Amino acid sequence: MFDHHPSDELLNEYFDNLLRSDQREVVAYHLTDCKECTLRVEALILLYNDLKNLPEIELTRDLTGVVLRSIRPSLAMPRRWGWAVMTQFSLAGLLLLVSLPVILRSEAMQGVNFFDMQFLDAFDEILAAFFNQGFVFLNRFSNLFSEIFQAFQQTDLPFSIVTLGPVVLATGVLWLVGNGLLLRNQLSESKKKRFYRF
Amino acid sequence: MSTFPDRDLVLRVRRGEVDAYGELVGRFQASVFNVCYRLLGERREAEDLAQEAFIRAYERLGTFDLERPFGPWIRRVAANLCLNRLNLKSPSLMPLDEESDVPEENIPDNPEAALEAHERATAVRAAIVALPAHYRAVIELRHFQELEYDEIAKTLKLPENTVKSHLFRARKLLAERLKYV
Repeated sequence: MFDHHPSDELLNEYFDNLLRSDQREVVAYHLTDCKECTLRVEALILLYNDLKNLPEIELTRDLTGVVLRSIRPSLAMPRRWGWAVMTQFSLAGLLLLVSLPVILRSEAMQGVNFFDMQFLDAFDEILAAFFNQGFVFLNRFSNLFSEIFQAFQQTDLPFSIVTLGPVVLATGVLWLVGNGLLLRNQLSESKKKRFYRF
Repeated sequence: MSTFPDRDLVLRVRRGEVDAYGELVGRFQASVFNVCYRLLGERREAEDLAQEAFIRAYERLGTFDLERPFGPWIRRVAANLCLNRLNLKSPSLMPLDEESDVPEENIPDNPEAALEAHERATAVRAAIVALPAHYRAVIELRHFQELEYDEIAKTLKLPENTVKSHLFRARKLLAERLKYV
């Protein structure tokens, strides 16, 4: 038996079935005799029912499409990929800048004309000429490389040709690292949350 | 919508069938949105968080226990996201959108009863949103997610006694605002 009214905490615990059976009996006994506490419990019951019966608000837009678009790996290039690609382009551009003076100074580049095709009427002549010109092109291309290589050896360059080796190697390594980053981003990007608004 | 059990859909998603996840979203989006709306009190933000909850749940689908129902799990994910969001905001900055609380199919024939139900629901919702964030959290987890005290304590990283005390005070505030006492 209580000398005074049970506290709010006790009534809440009674309401939530958290009391031991002996405590519960005491509170229940008190409630049969105390109008004030009965009103307090009734208020809790009203609240409980209102919360339980609170209707759901309708969703005005379907989230299915937008969620599926977010979780599917996107084909669009994400921002981080952009940085990796820009780095690769920059490195490739740097390599080109380093090698361009060497190429332009080679004798092989003087008066080069890769495609001196002639207009022919007959199809077989066109086909034969195509293959012929193809061989000519490949021949000149391979000659060009050998001449460039010779030019590297003969030209008085401000740097030794062997220094190009490490540059090419470093660029290749950076390129591979860049591609590794791309692949890693590709895997993680598919998991990353992204918002799409209507 | 198919009649596949949630568990089968989850298994299909785990096998890589993304479309099966669309079915799960369709089934639970309303209840997940309502969790977010009760906690945030703002439709747009609630929709964004509901969307984020589904994306987060997809990423963590591997941790989902197939022996348990999917609904409570995804609602819990949504509740956690909203609770994280609430930590960044002041409760006073959260208005309650004007909403139609009674779904059309549940509107009773009697217009007066419908109006009364609507007003009651609006008042309850407004009273919940007006609570401080930590009180709103315990009300949501106890009354809507039906978690036990120890589960609430674990979710909110609070001692169980604090959870009890928050819950009792939250109920008292709600009862006062709804004029039960």
